[in-house]
Amino acid sequence: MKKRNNLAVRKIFIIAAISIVFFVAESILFYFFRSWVKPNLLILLVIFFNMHQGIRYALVAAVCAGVLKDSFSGSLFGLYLFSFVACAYLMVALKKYLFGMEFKFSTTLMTSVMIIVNAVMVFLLQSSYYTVDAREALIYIVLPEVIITLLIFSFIFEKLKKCALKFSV
Amino acid sequence: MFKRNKKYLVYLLVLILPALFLLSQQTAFSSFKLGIVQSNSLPVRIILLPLLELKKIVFYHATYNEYTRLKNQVDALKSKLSRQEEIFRENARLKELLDFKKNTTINLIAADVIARDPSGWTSAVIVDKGSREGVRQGMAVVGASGIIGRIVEVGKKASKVMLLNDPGFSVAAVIERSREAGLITGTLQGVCRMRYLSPQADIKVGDRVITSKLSSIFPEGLPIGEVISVQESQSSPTLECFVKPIASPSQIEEVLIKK
Repeated sequence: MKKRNNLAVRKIFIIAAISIVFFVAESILFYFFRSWVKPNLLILLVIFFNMHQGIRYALVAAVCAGVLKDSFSGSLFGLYLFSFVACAYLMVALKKYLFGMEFKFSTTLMTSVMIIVNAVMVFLLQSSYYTVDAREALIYIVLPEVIITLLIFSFIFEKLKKCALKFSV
Repeated sequence: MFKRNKKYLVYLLVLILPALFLLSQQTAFSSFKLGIVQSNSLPVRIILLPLLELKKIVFYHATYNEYTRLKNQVDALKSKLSRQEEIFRENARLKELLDFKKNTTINLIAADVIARDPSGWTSAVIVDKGSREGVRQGMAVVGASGIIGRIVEVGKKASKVMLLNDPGFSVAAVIERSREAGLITGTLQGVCRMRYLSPQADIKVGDRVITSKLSSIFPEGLPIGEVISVQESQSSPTLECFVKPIASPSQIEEVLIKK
């Protein structure tokens, strides 16, 4: 029992550390390339842990990622936290529908859907609290983010898999 | 049974809490947020440091050209300043004669940028000065070349600055050449939009935009940016123009907070 608890705590620490690393990477990419090369690495983290470790660790990743992003953001506190947590739950429902499909296809489909759902959810939350120019938001924020994230997700998942094996998460 | 229910209760709570945060008073989280920022901004700064140094070396020629341009500008400004100092002294003497009691000194707090908002939806930076140094919400933040933004959240040792190009930012402004007045707001494109200009407004690409005396937090005459395009507004029978901020808000490293 104690050993199991230790493993869980270790996993939580590793997820928190990976969240910080991903957030740092996002910040650095944003500093140099602004919105044009701004992948949503943190949603990939939530999706990855949801697929490989289940909802419990996906929620840990969602909370870490959400708190980090909300703290640095100029928007309302809780906006990203809510979107990541909601995506983690939505993915559980989506997994049930895609159960039985070929693994690679279902992974790609699920990841693509979740990336788009997260981007749309953030857009809707931003629009409900602030005046957002929908056309501007789509061209300069949502589309670049979705496209870049879709392009790199398999590479990130591979790196995360290696990392998970190394730290036996 | 209870254990199973407890588990579902925790899952439900994880979803409800963020929603409650969204509905609650946001100022309550300022210290918590800025605490997280302070503890996590160090790795970003450490990684960025060598990259920034590398950038300086790679863009050496651009930096040298900029140095030469600024040096010439400084020489020109020095001569202009000496003339203006004379006018200022004369003005002070005349004001004294008229018994003006106006405080002309502006107290400034120098601060370093320690973190940036990478979301793209908002433009904000976090600076290393907070309520301990006298920073208050709503204070104006300026840079060496013009206005940067305003303080929106204050922690004990750090504060959040909403930048000039944030969609939520607005400041009264005028075109320096023609004195046409309008309102500068941020956009999601990284540039600013000047709205509510009269349809007959005399505006040209390249015109400088400065703060107007109608602005309640910024002093009059501070540079904001340069007009890059002029167009008719889609929502009202007015003109609007896009303005490129003088100081690239995402690249700033140091700021001055006006007390």
